[in-house]
Amino acid sequence: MLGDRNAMFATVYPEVRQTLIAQALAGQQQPGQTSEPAPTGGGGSGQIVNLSAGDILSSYAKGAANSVAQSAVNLLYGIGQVVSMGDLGKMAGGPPQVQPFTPTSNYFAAQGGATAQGVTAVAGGVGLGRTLAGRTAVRTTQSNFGDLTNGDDSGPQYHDRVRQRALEDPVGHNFPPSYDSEILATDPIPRPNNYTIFRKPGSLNGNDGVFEIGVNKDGVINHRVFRSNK
Amino acid sequence: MTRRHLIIDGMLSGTGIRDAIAGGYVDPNELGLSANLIKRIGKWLLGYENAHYYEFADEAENERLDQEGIEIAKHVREELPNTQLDYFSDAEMRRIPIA
Repeated sequence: MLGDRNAMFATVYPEVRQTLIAQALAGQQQPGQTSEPAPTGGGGSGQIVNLSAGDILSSYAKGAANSVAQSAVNLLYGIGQVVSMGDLGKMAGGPPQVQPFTPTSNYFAAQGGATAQGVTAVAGGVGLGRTLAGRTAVRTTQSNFGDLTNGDDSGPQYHDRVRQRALEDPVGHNFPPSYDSEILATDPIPRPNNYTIFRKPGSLNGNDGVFEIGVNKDGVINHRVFRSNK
Repeated sequence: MTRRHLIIDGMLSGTGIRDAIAGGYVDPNELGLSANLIKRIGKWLLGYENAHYYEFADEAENERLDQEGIEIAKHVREELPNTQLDYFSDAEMRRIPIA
């Protein structure tokens, strides 16, 4: 029925979507679907990014296509950091958490997906290489939180999925990492397997929507997306 | 006019369908897909969402989800014949060709 379809996907908000889906599928869920599967150690679980400056430079020198693409993301992270600092500077003194998160960066509109595929850089990659295992991603008190180029190893950990997504669909995934501290300061939304989601309304490139970050049970950010309301 | 290019993608909090050209996600209702197919996409997304929370540790479940996603992509292609369709495995983080 058309009304049901519209209700199901009227918005892209997952809370609504999930509720509607759950209602629509009542009784259809497979037994054990939400039970914890036996860990197999595989299945694309990925690795924590651990690039060194030498790795990046070496790849850069070789000019391999993969290195170019990878470095492009690193550049955008770096650019995002610089631009976003300017954006957040407009909220001098730090906005109350109850205010909407409204970063106004247009960096991505200017860069675009094509640029993401064609530009190389090193600086951002060096910072990403400084993620270390054992640190929690959910930190909101450090002044340098989200600064991937910072060298004091106190920033968040990013799962490699985050960078892969930024390459695959930069429009929705490659917003500046410096936004993360604001997003992670929101109320956590618990999910199965000690997974946690954080959401903060805001806008990106003139589009209103929600910034969303997912943190796994080990405190690693493995999901990072801007969902437009449109 | 550029041919529309969509990617079936089970990313957490997505709609299941990504715009490969403009980026971002597309509301299946706006595409005019059938009610049954939209419902099927919704059920598939629910499974993928759960797999994400468990970090895709169950390889058999990942394979099942991707097979279902590929079948969904084929059905979307049937309903939108003038659209290029791809499938992206969120579990494996790679595109999988649709035969």
